[in-house]
Amino acid sequence: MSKKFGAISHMTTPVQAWLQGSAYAVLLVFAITLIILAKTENIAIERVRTAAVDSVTPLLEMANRPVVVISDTIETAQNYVALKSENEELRRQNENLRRWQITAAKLQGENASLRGMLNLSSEVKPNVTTARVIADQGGAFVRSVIVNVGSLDGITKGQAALTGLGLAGRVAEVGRHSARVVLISDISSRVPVFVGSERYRAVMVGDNSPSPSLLYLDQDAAVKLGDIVYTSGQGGGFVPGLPVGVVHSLSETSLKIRPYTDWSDIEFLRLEDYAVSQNLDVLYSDSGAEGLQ
Amino acid sequence: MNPTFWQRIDGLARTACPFTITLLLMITFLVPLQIPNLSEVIPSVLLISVFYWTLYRPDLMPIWAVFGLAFVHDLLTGILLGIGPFILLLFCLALNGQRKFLASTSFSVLWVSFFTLSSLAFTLKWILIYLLESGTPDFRPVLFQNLTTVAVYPAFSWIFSLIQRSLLKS
Repeated sequence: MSKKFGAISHMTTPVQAWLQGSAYAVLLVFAITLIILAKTENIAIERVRTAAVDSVTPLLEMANRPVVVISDTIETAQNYVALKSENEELRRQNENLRRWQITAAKLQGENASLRGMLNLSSEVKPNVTTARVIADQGGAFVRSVIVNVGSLDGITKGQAALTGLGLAGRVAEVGRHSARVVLISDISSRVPVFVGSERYRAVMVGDNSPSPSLLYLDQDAAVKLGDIVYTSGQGGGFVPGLPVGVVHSLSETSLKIRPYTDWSDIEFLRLEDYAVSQNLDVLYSDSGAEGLQ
Repeated sequence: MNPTFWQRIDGLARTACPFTITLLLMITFLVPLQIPNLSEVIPSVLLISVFYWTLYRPDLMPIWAVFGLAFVHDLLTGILLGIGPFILLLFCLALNGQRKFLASTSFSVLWVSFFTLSSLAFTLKWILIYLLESGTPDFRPVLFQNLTTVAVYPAFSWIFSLIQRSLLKS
């Protein structure tokens, strides 16, 4: 490789140097102002952000196409290679799942009759939209993805985003054709959860690592490795009972969760609308406080 | 048609070349490549591009363009808005302070200088996130993203030098 790549043009005149110095000062102040506005969750910042994401969505979708074709081809080839062993594995799993199906059907019937006896309202069925992830390379400082559906597809802020396995995140910003989902591993994510069959309360907190931590756990909680973690519905952000993950490391100082969602493979997200924000609005207006929006 | 008009358009296109290429690369680098865990350690092409063009053709990568690119990057990645421009402005300030030395040095020294400056930028960004968000952000992806950025620097530097030679001869 050559020593130098190209000619250097120098900026020498004092006037230019002074102008550049002032430009730095002005832009630095502008950047700090932006940070303050973003930190105070200014609505204008959110609008600019959704407009920017909306405008690059067609470009992202176009760039995504060849990647999808290549990854699908590789996946198909891999599937052919592993066909025999996968078939045996699936047969074994199928037998296992049939046993669970019988148990689930029995419990469903039992649950329905108990709900009937207690006169409980039936569970809310969500409106589900499946979305493709079109941008996920946020880098080391943020865990969020952009999906190719927006307000025109009925997406609203606060909807739960799930993979086939469990909770992945929450819709944080909605444009017309796109939406941003902040993942539960993001540093800004806080989700009230229940831990284990004893339903110990805690808050799951992200730190940009693949394994979020549990904080504010009940004092008398006896959490074990492998305990299931699911949303508690407290605070109204999510409906109760969405599966999140399992407890996978316990120490004096921290308690980590391994989410069911496989972070290395989020191609699609299921956005579920339980109309939670509307419920909260009613709740807030009943108590005399202002609504969420 | 007036030939001077086309000449002007040609000149404008050449002038906008570094900015446009960086913007397109930045958007392309957001596309999910279905490679496990890549998103956390994806090289920061913005940092490499700003380093290269600020060093060799600051007239084509003025400070407002750096600000604009970092602003768009923040908007698209979802990070707290303003952090990217703030860090990149300081990065350019430090780079401009060493331009005379870096311009006449060998490639290996240039690479080490990029490593130093990018490490400082990543560390400062981590500190800012730590101060502005509640909780301690994981430092491992930051470390790896810095390393991948430094690792791909020669390749991108070479590509940019080709662009500079073929398109921006003037």
